[in-house]
Amino acid sequence: MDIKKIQLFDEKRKNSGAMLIILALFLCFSIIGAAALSADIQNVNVKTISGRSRSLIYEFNILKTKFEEAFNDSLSNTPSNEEKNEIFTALVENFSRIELNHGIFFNATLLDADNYEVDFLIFQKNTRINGIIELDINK
Amino acid sequence: MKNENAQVHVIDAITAISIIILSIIFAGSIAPVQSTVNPGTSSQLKILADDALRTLDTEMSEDDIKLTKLEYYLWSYTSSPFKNFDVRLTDFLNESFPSTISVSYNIWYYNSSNKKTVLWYPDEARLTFGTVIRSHRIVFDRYSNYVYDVILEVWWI
Repeated sequence: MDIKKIQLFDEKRKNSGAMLIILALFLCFSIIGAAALSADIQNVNVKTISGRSRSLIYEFNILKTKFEEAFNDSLSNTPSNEEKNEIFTALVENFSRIELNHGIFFNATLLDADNYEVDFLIFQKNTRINGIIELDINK
Repeated sequence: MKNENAQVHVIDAITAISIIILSIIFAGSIAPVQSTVNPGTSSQLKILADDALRTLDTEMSEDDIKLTKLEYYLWSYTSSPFKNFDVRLTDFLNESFPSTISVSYNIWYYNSSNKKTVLWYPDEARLTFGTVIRSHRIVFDRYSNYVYDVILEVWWI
């Protein structure tokens, strides 16, 4: 009876090594699996807002056209210089607020109200476009 | 025989511990997978969105010859007390993106005068995911003299 017990104990001891390896392998795969999963989960719902993919001149041209259009439509048929300045300032404020939402700084100054000569400035990060242009206003 | 068994157990234990340590080292070296966004494709999406808005803002509306399609759709929406959305806008946008790509989008408008951003389409903002590109177009409403900014938010699905 005692010999049988010893034999069984020896059998168990022999198998325990294999069990240890199986356990280690199981732990190993669990750790690698958990790490891979957590690395993957970390990226879920990462939002990347794409920056501009076109030149700033594209934005400048749109801005200039739109500003011209808005200025032209806002003025009365025979606008005084005071009215021109007032509307111009209000439009610059509105346009710059919109552009600022997209990370672009915009400013404009009405240099000559009679000829609608404007100093336009637009910049984003390291790109800056600045120039004096004459707006095409039919008033 | 007993000594041999003990030696085998020691080797087993060392092997098991080594496997665990190596797996921990390997797991520690796993870096988060960088977002698999190809800059080329997001630029293409941005160009597609820009072009869609530009086309809408260039083609004249059949309903009001003074306004472009975008101006008309926005004006008809903002001026209507029931906020009726013109499905021609989304029909056009759906056609603007090639059928080979799957995208989803939200359309917002920002009123620069009252500084409010309103969701234009759909009724409830869709949850954005991954790389989101934003394209915008300034729209001047000649009837109300408001300056709007139409923002098209697009992402891959």
